[in-house]
Amino acid sequence: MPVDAAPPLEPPAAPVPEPGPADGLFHSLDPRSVAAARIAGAIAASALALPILAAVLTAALAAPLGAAQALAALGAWGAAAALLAAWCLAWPRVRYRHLRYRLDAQGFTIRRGVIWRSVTSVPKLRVQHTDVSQGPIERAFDLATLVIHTAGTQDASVSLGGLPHGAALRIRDYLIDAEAESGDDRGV
Amino acid sequence: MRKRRAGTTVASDERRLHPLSWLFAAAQVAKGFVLPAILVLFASGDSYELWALAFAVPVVLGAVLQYAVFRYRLADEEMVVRDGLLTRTERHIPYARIQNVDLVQNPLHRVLRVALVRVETASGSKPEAVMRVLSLDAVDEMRAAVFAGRRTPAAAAARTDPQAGVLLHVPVRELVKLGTISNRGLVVVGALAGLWWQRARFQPDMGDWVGPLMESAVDRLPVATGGPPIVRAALAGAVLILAAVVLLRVCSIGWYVLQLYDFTLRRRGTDLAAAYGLLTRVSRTIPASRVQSLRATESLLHRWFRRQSVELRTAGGGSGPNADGQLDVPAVGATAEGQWLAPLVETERVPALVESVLPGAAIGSVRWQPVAPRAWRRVFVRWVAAAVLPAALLAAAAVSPWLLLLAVPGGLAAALHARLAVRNAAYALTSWGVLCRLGWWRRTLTIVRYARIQTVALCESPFDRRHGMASVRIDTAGAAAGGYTIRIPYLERDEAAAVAQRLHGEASRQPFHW
Repeated sequence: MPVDAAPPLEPPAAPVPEPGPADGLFHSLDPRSVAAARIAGAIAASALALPILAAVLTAALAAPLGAAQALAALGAWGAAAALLAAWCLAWPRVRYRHLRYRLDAQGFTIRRGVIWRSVTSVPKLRVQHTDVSQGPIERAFDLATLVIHTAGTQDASVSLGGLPHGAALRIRDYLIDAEAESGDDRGV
Repeated sequence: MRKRRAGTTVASDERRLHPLSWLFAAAQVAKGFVLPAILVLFASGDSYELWALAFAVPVVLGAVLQYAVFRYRLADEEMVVRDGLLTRTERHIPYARIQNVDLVQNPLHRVLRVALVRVETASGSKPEAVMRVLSLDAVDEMRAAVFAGRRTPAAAAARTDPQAGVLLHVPVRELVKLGTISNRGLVVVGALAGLWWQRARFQPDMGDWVGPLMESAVDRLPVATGGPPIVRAALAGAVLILAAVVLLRVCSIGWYVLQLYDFTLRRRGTDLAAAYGLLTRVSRTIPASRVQSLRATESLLHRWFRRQSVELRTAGGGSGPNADGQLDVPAVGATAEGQWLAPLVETERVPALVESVLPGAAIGSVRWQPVAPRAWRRVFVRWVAAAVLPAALLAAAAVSPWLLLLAVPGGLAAALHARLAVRNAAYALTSWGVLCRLGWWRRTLTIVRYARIQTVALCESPFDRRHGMASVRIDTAGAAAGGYTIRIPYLERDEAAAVAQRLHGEASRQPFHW
């Protein structure tokens, strides 16, 4: 338990009646996650495309390559790069539109996939522990990735990126509470 | 028992490993390095493999050190294990958390009346403590202490009365059938081939007698004394294939007799205990609480013998062959992914056997729900597209367009396969769990309790969407690598959504216990 999250001295008198994060509705991710995904995609695409450009330029300058051939190679690279750029621009929005998550008293549900679609449900009582992490791009947009660990095999960790940081923390806290409840059950 | 120990001091309670522990560490090296080296030495007359013996020295030294530093103590409520030379660790294992005290005994162990002991709890995939080796008296003492507080005085009772609570005993006769049914012979052939290659490397002429042997075998066939060369070649090929098949099956039978000799499954209170092995004897406990899923398999050969194989998957230590991370803990008796509940059992006894793990399951009387009947067309199209058409087109392009006619029997076979596969696919939701039945040639029945479901997913491929279908997949702990425990394919979209909803709801109501 972190030091700054010490429990209050006196327990709350009654359960707080606020609706909380477990509203049972399907939510979209933070819209800013599209921009974050585009930046991440652009970085990955550059890492792929720029070395190839360097290789093409080196070959054009150093090797006995005709001007026409060099232009053709550059043109091919340009076309491929344009396709890649279009993909990096368009895909995050498409993916964002197809992704919804829901938290309710039973558990956490993620609906995702554009071509292959899936609705994955993690019962609240199966949550072993949860992580909330932020990469540099996510920090810039105040986003976070929520990782839910279960005792399963294929779905040993179910992760969802692009949540608003605050929402990720609220979901985590809710699921951790559930974890504590199931821990009580275990002793009985 | 507790009272007697309460009076003694801590120091006198500490116990060591068996003094001969180093011998077994050396034997382990011998098995891995030295025996093959000696074999090669005799085969080749070369001596550099003897240097492998040098590997034994540090291992034996390590075992002696291990003996010097390793201590364990049986306290009132917990076992305390101290280990380590430079980094000393002291591990407290409460008896209540110990799920297994498993034994492995190879022939050397048995001669010296010792055993390798694994103490397992639910946490992680590695055993909590591995003791190589303890005397059988020490093992008895440890088991008595660990199981003293349990509801059932299980271990001691089972040792004194070998017939108590036997659920299943697999005699050699059945193991011969099992070897005939399954193709484990390849493992043995692989090992033999490795050895063969080692020999052949030094004496290349060794491989040359296969051809003459085949020739002489064919010559001795009464029908093959004459005839054109092509007939003789075909006969030789047939003899070769037949010999290979027979050899494989014989190896397979030998493998199973060696590994699973005298397989005995016993009830110990609520848990199960299995013991098996001809040379290396393994006895392991299977806590009922650790069973995650059950799967009964029935191939065509199984059906001819009216038998099934039942395996179970567990979470935690020692479930899979590579799960223990201990070189010296043989994974014998472990199947590819789980461990045997019954390597081979009469089909009519399967429901009773499942009841022994899942009381009240009554799998004989569940209401099966079929998958979407239209699904057979999807299976058919996929088989035609993947297997029948490419082959026929290739043959037509290469040889003659008439070979396109090959697609006709292929298509009929695909249609038959699709019909049978879809007719045999079914699922059932009971009051306690979910069952799924798949396949017609090789049939499997998978059983998972709701309390063991970890996640549920509703999946739609593009093909699913076009046909208004979806599949439901269920993940559990201890599932096979690269797969979900249950995948119910080809359900109508709405039905699949309802099934996923129900499973999620049932799982949400029941806490998961390790």
